[in-house]
Amino acid sequence: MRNPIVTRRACLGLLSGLAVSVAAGCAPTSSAPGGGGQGAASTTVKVGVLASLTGDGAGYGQYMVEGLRLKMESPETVAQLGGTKVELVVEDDAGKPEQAVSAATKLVNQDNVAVLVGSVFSPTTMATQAVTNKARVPQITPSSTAAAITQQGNNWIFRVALPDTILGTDLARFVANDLRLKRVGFMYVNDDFGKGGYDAFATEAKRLNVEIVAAEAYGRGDKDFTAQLSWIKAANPDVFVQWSRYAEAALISQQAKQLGYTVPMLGSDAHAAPKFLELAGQSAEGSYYVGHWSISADWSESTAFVERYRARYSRDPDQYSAQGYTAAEILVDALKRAQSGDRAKLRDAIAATRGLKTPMGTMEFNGQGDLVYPTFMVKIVSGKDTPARKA
Amino acid sequence: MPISRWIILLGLALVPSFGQVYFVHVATLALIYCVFALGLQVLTGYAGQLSLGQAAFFGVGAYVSALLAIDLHLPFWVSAPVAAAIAALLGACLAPLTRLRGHYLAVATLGFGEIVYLVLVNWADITRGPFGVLNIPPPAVGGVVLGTPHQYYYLALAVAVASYVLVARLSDDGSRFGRGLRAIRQNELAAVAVGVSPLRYKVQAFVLSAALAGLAGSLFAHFVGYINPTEFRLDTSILVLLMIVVGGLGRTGGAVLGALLLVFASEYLRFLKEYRMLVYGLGLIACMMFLPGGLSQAVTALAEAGRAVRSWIERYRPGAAVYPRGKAGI
Amino acid sequence: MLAEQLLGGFAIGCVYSLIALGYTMLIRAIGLVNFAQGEVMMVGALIGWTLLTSFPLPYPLVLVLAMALTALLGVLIDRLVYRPVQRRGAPTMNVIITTIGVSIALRNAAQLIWGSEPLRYPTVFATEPIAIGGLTVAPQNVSILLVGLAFMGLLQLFFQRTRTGLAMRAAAQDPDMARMMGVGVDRMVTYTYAISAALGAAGGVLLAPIFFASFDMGYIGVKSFAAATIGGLGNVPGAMVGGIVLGVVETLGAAFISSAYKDALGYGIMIALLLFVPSGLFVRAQRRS
Repeated sequence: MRNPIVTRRACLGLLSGLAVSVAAGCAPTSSAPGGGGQGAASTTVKVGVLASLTGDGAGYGQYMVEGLRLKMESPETVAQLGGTKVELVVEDDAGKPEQAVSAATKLVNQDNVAVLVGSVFSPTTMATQAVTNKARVPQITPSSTAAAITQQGNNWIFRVALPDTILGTDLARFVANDLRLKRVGFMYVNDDFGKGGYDAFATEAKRLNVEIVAAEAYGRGDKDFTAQLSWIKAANPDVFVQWSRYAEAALISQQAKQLGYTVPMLGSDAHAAPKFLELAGQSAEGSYYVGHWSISADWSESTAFVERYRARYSRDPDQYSAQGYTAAEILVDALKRAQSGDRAKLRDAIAATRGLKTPMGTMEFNGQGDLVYPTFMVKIVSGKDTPARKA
Repeated sequence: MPISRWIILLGLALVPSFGQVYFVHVATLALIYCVFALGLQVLTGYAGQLSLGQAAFFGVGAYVSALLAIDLHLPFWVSAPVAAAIAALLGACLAPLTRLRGHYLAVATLGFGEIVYLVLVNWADITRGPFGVLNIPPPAVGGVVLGTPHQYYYLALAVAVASYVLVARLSDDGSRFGRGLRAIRQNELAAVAVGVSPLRYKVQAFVLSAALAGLAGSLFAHFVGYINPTEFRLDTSILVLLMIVVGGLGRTGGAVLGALLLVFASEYLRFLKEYRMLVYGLGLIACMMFLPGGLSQAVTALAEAGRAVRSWIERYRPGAAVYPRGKAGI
Repeated sequence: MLAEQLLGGFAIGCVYSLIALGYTMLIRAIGLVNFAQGEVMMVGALIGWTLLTSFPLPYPLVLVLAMALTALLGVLIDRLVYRPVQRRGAPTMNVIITTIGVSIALRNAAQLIWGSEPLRYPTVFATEPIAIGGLTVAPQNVSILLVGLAFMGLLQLFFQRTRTGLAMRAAAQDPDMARMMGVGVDRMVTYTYAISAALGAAGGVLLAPIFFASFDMGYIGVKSFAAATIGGLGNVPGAMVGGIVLGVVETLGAAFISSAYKDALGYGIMIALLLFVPSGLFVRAQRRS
């Protein structure tokens, strides 16, 4: 069996090793802010970008980064920033919170970024905000919608997208006040996105005396929804609402129509993706959705953004691109005002954003890191987004 | 203990003094997975029971520890062992499954893993559902909160070393448990014939692997600070299985090697960007094709070579008595 | 509503069956659990998409071509990857791990080649609901059911009536004896890989118009494995029935018990069956055939 003397030596060795390293390793970790402009003629500010570039969220991450790059790398931006050069450091989190934390740790400590733009999904953003909060690095998430993100008492987190509480609530109001319907059949994906939307809708619906006659959930990645759709149909709702990502939303639209659904169909901001229309085809005709942004937005910043996006990437932007672009606009504006790559100064500059015109609207942060702007209510007519009512 | 192990230990203990925050963060994560992988090594490497549901125990351990810390304000020193115990209990519940063999057991454990995931997602009253658990507090040692990777590293290292010693003791022929597991793995019928009860040993292996996975889970939860059900699915079960296979099935050190390699590879191969996972898959195939005994095989081969070189040198140093050992040499 | 549910369950069950058949054939022939089977289906679906959108080919021809090309891929993977690993006498676990590596590689290669977003097939099946005696029936479910059953029927015919099919069964049952009788066992194994890949591709091309083609559609392979197990791993008719059983149980369970726990029901039944009828539901059927 084991030699007891050897085991004792092992413990001793370990202890001495520990003692040495405790002494050495207890030094505070350095966290020099990225760049550092103290009136220097030319400084480089590193911007960390964290997005799901692989895995099943890769599409969203890709679009988001494209939107971001469109703004950051444009000649006007370079000119606007003058001597300050922006370097993008892009990392992949594969949509997984654990990887996101590791990537954020790398960006914040090893790459010394001044600010972090990311992540795409809510779980990854929730996980990383602990890292950026502790390291005192401002973080802007373009697309995460979980309400809890800005409710943690964290001064360093900012968000471009509207939280699902607002989206769900607005949709409920639309059903009650505009469509004047009373019985809702609801279907949602059983993750933070779907559940968040459902909870928000259900709370407001209750307040407005709208009854949810049937609520069914499904797992992310499911393809067949006959079970849930039949059940909902049997409960005889007069409107159908779903909170899904675009691929499942398209499938659900199609399968609902195949099962004979004739009631109005409503959906989440995921329906703003051009892919949703492409996949859902005819089944999306006449349906509605609530969103942060629509390609049908008619003000000049938005149309200009759409033009430039098409020119560079040869396809239409979706709301993730718009969110990435808007995050970049906020960042550039903050950089101009802060005149420095110092993390704390940048955070303050971001928080002080006022009257900034972006493709998604005129932006200003409330005290909690959320932007305040109206939702879009869109109806799909002849394959195109048309405003149903601006909420 | 051979001097090589000493050196490794010392090296591991010194990592935080030389490592940047990111490196230490990754190293800590690797150590946490070591604990996880060591558990699976007992079950799959020693007892030969292929389980694709280990992420369930990992997740249960993480959730129990996190929720005890947040809801009941229990310190880590209480919540972690309780988490491991509850995970172990869950492992014991798989006792009926031990009747199954091979592919059937693999599929059954896969199903079990998915069921546990669904419970984590849907039992929202307790688990917070798909939103996950936020703000899990880091453990405190006598007033010092282990808030940075540098500090947490030592905790992970201590647990990993302890787990290694435990599993190593159970593996070699000096332990009845280890011999029993080996017997079952090699030929279950023969084992029964010599009086080894497969059921008892298999259940014990499940329980131990679950306990270690649960312990790793609690370390994970308090380290990352946020957990979410999606982190405890089939992907994770497959990952830890890959760790022990790539590291070397059946050898204690194999679990450690595999865990260190896979965690570091997935972080430091980032420069490959969207090709990273593809390289991962191809690398796995290459490993299976050219190094089926895993990395331990390579390490052992190197050690053998080292020994051979040493004795060769021994034989020919001046003054050494040369005893003929036959034409073959060494 | 029950009839609608049953039909839906049958339809998705056919999907599971088609892929389960691929698993089962390989297990029967070489004792190999091919975790990459779902990804093979995915590759077939994506190849089909490329064919459909690049050339003006009719859908049935695309189906055949995709099956052929994917069969080729299956054989290639066998030659280049599985055989070398098995030749070294690696333990079964290592072989299973290799298939997992192949599935990861295929999935990510597909993502790199075809992108991350779902791809739409041109409309193949009818989309308007069919009314049959007071019931609303989704035409896609009918389509899957009909084509799925047709394939399974063809496969049964192949195994029972053709020389090659019989030779393959012989080789699977007792390779040494088959060799002595002059059956080229090695070639039979190659055929098995080819056919199982072709079946996977057929499943993919049939599914894609309804469920879209994307690099992550292979996840359904996991459930199909459960289906194959229900029918008894290695039992070809069993795989067909196992798939349908899983589909029906899942759909009815989702409707009447809980939609959130839909998968759990399927897996739970699978585990229960495994415990009480360990070699699947159709042992007797196997002995007969």
